[in-house]
Amino acid sequence: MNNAKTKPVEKRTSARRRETLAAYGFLAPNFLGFLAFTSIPVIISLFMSFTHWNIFKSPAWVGFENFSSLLGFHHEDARLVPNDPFFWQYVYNTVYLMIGIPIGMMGSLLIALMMNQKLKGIVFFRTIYFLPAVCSGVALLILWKYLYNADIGLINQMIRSVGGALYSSPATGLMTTVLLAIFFGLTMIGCVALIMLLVMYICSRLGLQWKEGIYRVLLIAFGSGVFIAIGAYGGAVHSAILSFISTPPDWLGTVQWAKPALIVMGLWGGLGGYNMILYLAALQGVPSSYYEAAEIDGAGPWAKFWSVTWPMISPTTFFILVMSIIGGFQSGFMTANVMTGGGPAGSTTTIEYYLYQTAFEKFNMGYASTIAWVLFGVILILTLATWKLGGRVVTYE
Amino acid sequence: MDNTGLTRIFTTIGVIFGVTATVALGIFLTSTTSPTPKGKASIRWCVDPNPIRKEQIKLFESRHPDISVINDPGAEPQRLLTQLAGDVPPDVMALYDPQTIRLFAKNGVLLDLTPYVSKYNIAVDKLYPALEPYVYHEGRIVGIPENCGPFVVFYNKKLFREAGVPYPKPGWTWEECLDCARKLTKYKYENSRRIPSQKGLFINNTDWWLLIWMHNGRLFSEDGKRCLMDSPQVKKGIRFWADLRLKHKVMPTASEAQSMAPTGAWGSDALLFRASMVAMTLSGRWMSIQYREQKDLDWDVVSAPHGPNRVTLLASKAYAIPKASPNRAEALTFIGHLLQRDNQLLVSNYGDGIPANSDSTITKAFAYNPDYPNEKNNQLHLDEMKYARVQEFSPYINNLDVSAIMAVELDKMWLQQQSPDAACDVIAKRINAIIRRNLANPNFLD
Repeated sequence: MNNAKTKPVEKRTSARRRETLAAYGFLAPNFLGFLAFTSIPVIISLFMSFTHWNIFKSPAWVGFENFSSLLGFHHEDARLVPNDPFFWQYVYNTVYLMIGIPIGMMGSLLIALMMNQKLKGIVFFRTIYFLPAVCSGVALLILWKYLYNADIGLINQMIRSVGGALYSSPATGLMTTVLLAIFFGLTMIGCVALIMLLVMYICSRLGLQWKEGIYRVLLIAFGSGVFIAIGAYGGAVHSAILSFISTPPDWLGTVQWAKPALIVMGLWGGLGGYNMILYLAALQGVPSSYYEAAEIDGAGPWAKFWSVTWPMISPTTFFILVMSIIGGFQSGFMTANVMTGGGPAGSTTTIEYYLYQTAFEKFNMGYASTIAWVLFGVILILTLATWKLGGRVVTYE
Repeated sequence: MDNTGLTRIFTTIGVIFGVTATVALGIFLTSTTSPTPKGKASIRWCVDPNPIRKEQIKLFESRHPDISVINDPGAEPQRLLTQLAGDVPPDVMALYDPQTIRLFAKNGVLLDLTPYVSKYNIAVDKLYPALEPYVYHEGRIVGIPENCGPFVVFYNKKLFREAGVPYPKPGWTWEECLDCARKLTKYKYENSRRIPSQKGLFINNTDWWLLIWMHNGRLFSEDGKRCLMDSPQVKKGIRFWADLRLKHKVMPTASEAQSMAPTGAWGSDALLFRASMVAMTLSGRWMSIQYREQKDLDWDVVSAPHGPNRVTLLASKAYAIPKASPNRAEALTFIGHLLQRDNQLLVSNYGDGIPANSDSTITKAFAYNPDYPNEKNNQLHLDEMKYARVQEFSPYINNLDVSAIMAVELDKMWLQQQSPDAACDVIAKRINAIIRRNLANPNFLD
């Protein structure tokens, strides 16, 4: 009787053991690969960050010298100057280029909302918008390099020809200036309004009091200020627009325009890319019953978006934000290597490209490891901060 | 038989098949990696994949049938270092600048060729004295340059004729060059926009050395412990260089150059010259490889203009043998062959520089090449060797740090965000700060 009971148990146990062994067997190759090619090098790189190593010779222990060279400051002519001014310039460049992240996220969401419509041939449009993500990065960079060319680039040729046509007569010229001034004024007000809306939203999620009256007063004051300024400097605005049209910027050749040009390029490729796909998936996962309930409550399209869609896709937004911040700090190599060479005047060199140059052009592996670990620290802190804040704002169903 | 039994059988068969296939593939790859026939040594030559390499190998193998040469294309320092660190060193490798040679030699990678010079007939005594930085490290012979190129001015004869400007003569000055360049700079109007259609002169952004040397300036002090970029002599040279582009506008800006011949790659100056967009360009003889391709391009060379001091820039590359080379004797035979007459003429007639061997039988044969009867001025390249100088470096700072600082600060100068004098001051300050740090902590020295 006992035997009859224990046999199936034994069978089950040995089957489970076999399954466990098989599971470990399947995991082992990847785990060993991860250990050999990722974990161990990462740990070694931490050790290397405290050494000077040029590959030829054994690493020489330098303690915190690399860290102080990278992050430290010293006095020079009674001024505090960084020990490695390149690093701080490239940190600034990297952070500047990350301005594109929120803009890109908004754009991706907008496109995903459009692509979520039940229209005939929508798959075609989805494919078109996703196309830049599957094109060769190098080919696209070369294409953009030509587009941005100061003399023969398509962008400047368009600016010149459209501007030339508009300013061919005083009437159309004046009208263009006025319209452009209004457009820029409204854009600025819109940006401020968006920031204020964001602050309002975060405050409401955090349970903080927000005085709507103050918001309105601030916005009206700012809007009036913008238009008074534009009106007062009408002549200057007109001549600035004229000069822009007659001599469009050397997009990649000037320090002022190189970074904005790269942001615009990144947006072109990024809007319809993987972020759009993630948003699209998130939008399709919102139950239609929520919208029906909102409609019954009398919600319009904006209210439905703000009260149903936005909270429901907030985990996706949070995921995209975290990944974009991580990606933003680790980007810029290909652009610098193929398109700009990191110039002009180092204005498009990012930390990632600096790390590459230090390691594989100067063979200063110790210093490069220090850069990598500092970069890791920055990313970790920012990710934790985003996580902490995001956890309070994101809505999980 | 139940399902479990079948699964076991298939798994066993799969594992046996997988292991057998892997072992068989390994054996096949191992047996086919060395195509060298038995009894014949094979050396691996890491160098740029210039088409002439095939001819060079053919020539060497005809002289030494017991040695075969494999051209391993590419000799970037990263590539060489990886091979050396992985204990698969090449037998002969190209090193492209004196600082890289010093770096490799100082770290004990390079074979001291001094004891082998006479045995392997390496004609070191025939090399031009200006090439010394490519040859010696602390008195030992570590590199052998095969060819070299003093910078000269290539000019478009047709554009000179059209502008009614007489052809320049060797020994001309920078003032004369500027005068010509002004006359050869032309503009056109496109939709009432004035844009340059032709510029008088092109100098690469990295070839400013001769402009500071002509005023007796130097980048580094003799001992290499101080950057002298802020000296009045250097500032004078840099000011003149900046004026060529910003004041006299005879040189295209980076953006203009890209518009005239859109490319960011090596040889953009060649494209500008080939497209008759610039009338004169300062470069070495290797450019003739490209200019020959363009049959309708009527060009000639003249010496680099001079200032108070007559001087020009010299470029070369040296071949070295790693100490760990598995085929040392064969590699030495190959290195010795590179300086022999046949190889020297093969390479220089191809257009890739001038012979590094200054033996008169070679230079005479080089001076006139019947295959290219229009190139009557080959002797000029040889004559310029008297004034040629290799770019400076300091053992106390990595060249790439210097280039990075230069690039950033000179870019600001080109964008007119700072004056040439200010750029020189900042460059000197930043380079000296790194030298001071490296001197204070020898760990930072290579």
